[in-house]
Amino acid sequence: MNKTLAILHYELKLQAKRPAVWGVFLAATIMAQLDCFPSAQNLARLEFLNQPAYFVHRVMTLDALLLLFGLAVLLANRFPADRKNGMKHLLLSYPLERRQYILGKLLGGFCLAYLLVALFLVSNTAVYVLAAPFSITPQEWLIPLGKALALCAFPASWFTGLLATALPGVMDIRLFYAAAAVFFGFNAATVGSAETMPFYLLTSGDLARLLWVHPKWPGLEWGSVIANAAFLLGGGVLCACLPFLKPSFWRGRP
Amino acid sequence: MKRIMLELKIAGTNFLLVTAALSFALVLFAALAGELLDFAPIAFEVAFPLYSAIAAGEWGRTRCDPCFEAIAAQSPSLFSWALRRFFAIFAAVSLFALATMLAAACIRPGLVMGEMLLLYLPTAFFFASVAALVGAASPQEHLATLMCGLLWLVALLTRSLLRLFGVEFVYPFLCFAGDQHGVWLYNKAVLAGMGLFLWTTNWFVLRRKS
Repeated sequence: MNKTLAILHYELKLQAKRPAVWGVFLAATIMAQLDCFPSAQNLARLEFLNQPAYFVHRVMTLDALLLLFGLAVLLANRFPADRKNGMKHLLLSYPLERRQYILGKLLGGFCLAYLLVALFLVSNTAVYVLAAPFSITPQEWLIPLGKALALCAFPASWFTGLLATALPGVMDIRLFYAAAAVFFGFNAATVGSAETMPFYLLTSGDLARLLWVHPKWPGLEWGSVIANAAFLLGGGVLCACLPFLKPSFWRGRP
Repeated sequence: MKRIMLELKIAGTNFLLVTAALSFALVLFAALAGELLDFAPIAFEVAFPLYSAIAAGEWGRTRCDPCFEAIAAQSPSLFSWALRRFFAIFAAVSLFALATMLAAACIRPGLVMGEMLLLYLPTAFFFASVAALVGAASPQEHLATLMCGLLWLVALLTRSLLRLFGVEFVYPFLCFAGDQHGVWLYNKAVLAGMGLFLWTTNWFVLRRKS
C-alpha cells in the first residue's frame, strides 16, 4: 500500500509541476468567467444566472468539460511516457508489484482530475459569489457546490482519470486521442432538452439535473440518473481493469 | 515523391490503421444514422479536421521528433523538411477522407462530393496548420494535440458566439452550427487564408533553425 501511495504521490507531484496542466486549468477558468461572470451583459444574456445553483450547473456541464478534456490528453501519456523515458526499467528493478504500479498510476490520474475539477468549481463559485451584484446566502451556493463536488465532479473525474490513464497503456495513444475527441465532441455538441439525456454523457448527463433543473422541465427521471452514474463509475472501473489484464504489461504476474 | 513515401514509412503502419479505423467508423455512422442527420458537416467539418490535426501533431512531429537535433544539423532547410512531412501526413489523411466521402455518397445519395470537399479541406488545413505550428515551436510531446483539441472543443462549445457580427466568417464549424446568412464559402476561404498565415509564421519559426 505504501508503494502505491508513493507512486500516487510521485504522479501528483509530477503533474502539479507541469505548466501544461495549469495552462489547461487557466484556459477553462477564463472560458468559465467569460461565459458566466455575473456582469450586467451576462445576467441579461443568461436568464437564470442570478441563481447560484444554475451557475454551478453551467460551469460543471460546459466549462468543466474543457478542463476534463485537457486533463485526458495530459494524463494519456502516463504509461507510454514511463516506457519511453526508461522510468519503467527503473521501476522494474525495484521490488514493486504489478498491481502497486498500476494502482498508483490510476489513482494518481483520478486524484489529479478530481482535485483540479474541485479547485475549478470552488474558485469559479468564489468569484461568482464575490462579484454578484445581488446578495447570496451561504446555503444558496454551498449546497449546489457540495452536490456538484460529490455527485458530478467525482464520477466525471473518476471516469476521465481512469480512462485517460489506463487506455493508452493498452492501445495506441493516437487512437485514444481520436476516440476521446469523438466522445468529448459529442458531449460538447449535445444540447439539453425536456427528454432524458443519453446515459453516456460525461458532464451533461442526467446526474447534472441533481444540481439544477430547468423550470420548464422540472421532472427528474431517476432511472436515467442512476444509468449515468453507473456508466461513469462502472466505465472507469472497466477501463482500470484493462492494464491488469494485459499479460505483457509487467515483468510477470506476481 | 520518394521522400514523401519515406515520411509515410516513418509514420508507420499504426497511422494507416488508425486512419482506416476512423474512416470505417464514419462510413458505418453514415449507414446507421437516420435520414434527418446532416452527415456531411459532422463528419467532414467537425470530426475529420480534428483527426487531421491529431495526425499532423502526432505522426508529423517536428521539434519533438527524437531525431530533431540530427535533422536540424544535417538538413539544408528545416522548413522544407517540416513541410514535406506535413504534406505526406495531410495528403494521406485527405485520401482517406476522400474515400470516406465516396463511400458516404454511395450510402446517402443526397451528399455532394464537391461540397464535402469544400467543407473538409479548408477546416482540416487550418487545424492541421495549428498543430504544425505548435509542433515547430515546442519540443513537448502531445502539446499540438492538446492545443488543437482545446481549440476544437472551445469552438464547439461557443456556437452561441455566432450571434456576434463577424464571428461567422472565422467560426470553423459554420455549416455544422447553421449558416444563417449563406456565407460558408467566405468562411472557408478565411480559414484557408488563416492556415496559410500559420504556415508563414511556421516559416519564420523554422527559418531560425535552418
